Order: sequence, then structure tokens, then C-alpha cells
Amino acid sequence: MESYLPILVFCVIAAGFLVVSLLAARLLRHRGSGRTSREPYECGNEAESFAHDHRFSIRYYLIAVLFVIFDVETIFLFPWAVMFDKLALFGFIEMVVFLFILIVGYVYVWNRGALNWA
Amino acid sequence: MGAIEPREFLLLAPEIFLAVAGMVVLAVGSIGRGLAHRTTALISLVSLAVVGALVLTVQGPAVGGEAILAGMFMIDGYALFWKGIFLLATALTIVLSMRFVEEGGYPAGEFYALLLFATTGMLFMASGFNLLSIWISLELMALSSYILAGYFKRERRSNEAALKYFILGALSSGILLYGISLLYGATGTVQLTELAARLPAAMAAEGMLVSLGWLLLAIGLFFKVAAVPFHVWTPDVYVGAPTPVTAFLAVGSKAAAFAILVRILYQGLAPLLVEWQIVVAAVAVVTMIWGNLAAVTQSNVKRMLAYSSIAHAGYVLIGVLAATEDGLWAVLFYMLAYSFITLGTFATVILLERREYAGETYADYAGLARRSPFLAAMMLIFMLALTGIPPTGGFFGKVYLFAAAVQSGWTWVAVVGVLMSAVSLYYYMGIVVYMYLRDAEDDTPTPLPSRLLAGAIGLCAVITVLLGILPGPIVELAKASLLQLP
Repeated sequence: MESYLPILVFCVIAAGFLVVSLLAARLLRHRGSGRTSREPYECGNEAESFAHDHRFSIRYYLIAVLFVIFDVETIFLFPWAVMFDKLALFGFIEMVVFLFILIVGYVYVWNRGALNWA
Repeated sequence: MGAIEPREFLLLAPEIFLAVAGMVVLAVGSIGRGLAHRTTALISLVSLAVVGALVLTVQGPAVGGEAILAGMFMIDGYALFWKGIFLLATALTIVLSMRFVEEGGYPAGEFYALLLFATTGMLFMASGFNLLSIWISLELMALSSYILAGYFKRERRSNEAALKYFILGALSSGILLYGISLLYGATGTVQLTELAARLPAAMAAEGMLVSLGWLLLAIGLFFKVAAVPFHVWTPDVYVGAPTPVTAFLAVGSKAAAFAILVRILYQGLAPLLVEWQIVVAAVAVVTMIWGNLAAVTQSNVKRMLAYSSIAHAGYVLIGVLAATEDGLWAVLFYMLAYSFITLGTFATVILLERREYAGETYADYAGLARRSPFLAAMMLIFMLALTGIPPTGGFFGKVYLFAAAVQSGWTWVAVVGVLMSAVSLYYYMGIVVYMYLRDAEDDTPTPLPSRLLAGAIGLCAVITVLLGILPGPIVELAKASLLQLP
């Protein structure tokens, strides 16, 4: 059980940090006045409406998801590239298979028009 | 850990082929306007047939049991039996889907590709021999299923089904993974045989950690087989999902979840037999009672069938609980019989559904015996089989399950099962009463819009009855597909 002591200490410090910073902020901060300070910050312009009154194009979501896929692909490619010599032919074939699966997905989204903005 | 030989990948040829087939269907379906529904379905069916042949020829010789890829997967008779069930269930689901998805006006490529991906996951699950490979296979199946449940995207209920299924499915996968991580923390392994070997020592050293780990693992699995009290997602998902997908979830997903539940309990958690038997017994009893009682109060047929599928998960758990050879082959036999009965039932519901979701209440079955004697007779057979009345496969399935429980000293659980089967008579026969004794508002004959679908229903009914008259060959096959017992 002693080996868990550092974790306990860590938890206490983390919780303490939270409490102290929130308390300090509450004591020190300027007390804002009403409506203006609750409005979203729009670079000095007056906000015209609320964000949830608007509908956003689903394309933003699609692009974000596609980005994540290729982002993750790079994360896997990077260590593989570093270890290329050790993984040798086996690692190369595995990575080709992995890329092939992703390319099928890429072909699919391309054909389905997910990449067309117009 | 020895080097991995190329031969070991060849042993996985069926799974690899199916994954590639799924990708081909997906890619080809996305070109231009895609292929016609029938063509896509045909390609998928042919792929499944090829996979079936590959399973027999490539994995068949290894029925004695061969661990491959550093103990990640196991090719044995047990896995082969399940793979047979999965392939048959998917093939029948495709037949059920053809008209339904086309009339719904949804594209073909993604639907069949997702079905094939889900089946790939199931095949891997049957062979999974390492908690992580099992978990990833499960996710492959589950993620495909979430999308399939929401495939009718213009339907509110389909959206609701997908969202609920996804949220609760993700939660249960998380619980499962947490359990796996605790077991790994206690034993230092996730490979099933190593886990079983190291558990006794780990129990002595880290009792709490192990207990919490296997309990969370078991809860995650109970979610997937839809056992009470982890069943809440089932009725809404089964009602909202397109009916062929519901059939696929009720048969394929449930069977696959049982395949890994049994393998993990029997092979990975064998040293904890006494502990998990108590938990499984409690869950089995609660599941049977709640599933059957809740089914009694339903007025929507798909919802009733959802609760019925929960109740049937309870019956199967009785066989799991026995932890004897008799219990194990009874589970295999029951799942095979249940698959055909359930697919046949849902196929009949699909034929009666007029526009997408209409035609689901009991009242829609009124006077069916006069409007369509064929469909009424088929539904009668399936309802008898679900209740467990001879001469149907459902009868022998239940007899074997209950007998195995009695022989291993769990008589009281079997008694609950028998009593609850009597309760189930009420709601299954409710449909029969509507079909044969109530008059329809209009007596115009219900046309059979699809000969293929009618043929599939007939096939399921014939197999259901055959299993009730001649269960011998399948029992022998199941007896040859056992696992090593704890």
C-alpha cells in the first residue's frame, strides 16, 4: 500500500491547486457588471445573436472527422518510420496493409463527395 | 514468444477475405450511383459462401485447437461452430434486408459493407484468445452495428436507436476495458491461458483487484448479451432499428457475445469458477423473470420480441452456469436453434410491415390466418418454438439447458426457467390468438411481396421443426465443438 502514497499526495496537491486558484480568483477579480460582461467576446464588436440560434453545415463535422483519421494515421506512421530498420519486411507489410485500409476509406469519402465543399 | 510464421496468417484467410470483401462492397458501392441492391446483396452472399468454404477447408483441419499469432487467436472446434452460426445468420439477414432497404430508399453499398464488417468482427470474436484481440473484434462488430441501427436516417426512431445503442454500447465497452486493465494489473497478462495460470497466485496477492477486474469484465459482457439489469438499451434499440438489423442484433450480436462470454469464463477465468457461477446464476434468474414479465405487458410486437430475446439470454446463461460438457453443448445447440427461430420470426414481421414501421402492433396480426394462411402457420411454428413446445428445436434446446443445470446441482435455477417458460406461453400465444381467433377489419388477402423472403421464412421453419424431430446430428456436432472445461 505504501507504493500508492505518492498517488495520494499527488491527488491532494492537484485538488489543493484547484481550490486555491479558484479561491484566489474569486477574491482578486474585478466584479463585472451585468449583461455586457456575460456576452461572448467578439473582438470589440457587439454580438448580434446567440451561437445556438445558428445551424452549422454538417461539412464542418465531416472534415473534422476525416482530419482525425489522417491525424491518427500519422501518429502510427511516425514510430514505424523511426523503428523501420528493426521492424524490417514484416513491419513494412503490416504498414502497407494499414495504409491500404485507410486508402479504401479515402476512396470512399472521395466518391461520396465528402471532400467537395461546393 | 516465438516468431510469427506466414502460415499463421493463412489460417486467418476466411476473416481476411471477408474484411476485403466488405471493403470492395463499400468502395464499389460509392462509385457513381453504386450497384443495384440485388447485385450488392448477391456479391455479399457469394462472399459469405466463399468464407464458409474457407472456414471449412483452411480452419477445418485445425479443429483440434491451434493457437496462432502469439496466442492472439485460437482456431478450434468451438470457434468453428460459432462461425457457422454467424455466417448463416448474416446470410439470412441479407436475404431479409434486400427488399426492405431498397424500399426504404437507402443506398445498398454501405448497408451490406457494414453487415460484412460486423460479421468479420464476429468471426474474430469466435477465435479471440486474448482479452485485447477479443475487445477489438467486439468493437469492430459493435461500431458497425451502431451505424446499422441508425441506417434509416430519416426515421426518428432509427436515430434514437442508434444514439442509445452507441452511448450504452460505448459505456459497456469502457467497463469491459476497465475490467481487462485491472486483470492485467493483477496478473500481467491478457492472454487467456496465461491468465488462468496466473489467477490463483494473483487472487492471493491482490484479491480485491482481481475481484473488481473480473466483475467489471463480466458486467461488460452481460451488457452485450442484454442480461438484466444491463438490458435497458435493448427494447428501444430493437424497436427503432430497421427490422432486418434488429434480427441481426438479436441473433448475430447476441450469439457473438455469448461466444466470448463462454470462452472468457471457461478458459480465462476458470480458477474463479465458484465465484462467477454465483454471479451468473443471479443474473440468469433475474434476466428470466424480468424479461418474461416485461414481455407480457408489451403491445408492440418488436418490443415484445426484444424482451423475449432478453429472456432467452437468461435461458442460455443457465447452460453457461452449469460449466459442464452437457451445459456447453446445450448452449451451442440452443443458440443455433434460437438463431433460426428468431430470424424466421423477424422475417415474418418484415413481410407484414407495410411502410417502414407500420404493422407492428398485435392488432395488425388479427385474422392473419384468413388473410395469409402461410404466414400465420409459419408464425405459429416460431411462437411454439420460442415457448419451447415440441416438436420444435426450441423444445429440445430448453430441455438440454435445464437438464444440464439440474445435473450440475443448479436445480432451483432450472425450476425458475421452467416456470418462466410457462409465463412466456401467455405472450407468445397472444399473437396466435390474434392470428387465428380474432377477425381482421378487412379480409383482403395479404400478398406475399417477395418469394425469396417467403422462402427464407419457410427454410427457417423447416429447420426449426427438423431440430425438434431429429436433434441428433446437431447435438453430435455441438458435442464435437466443446472447449476444455474449467
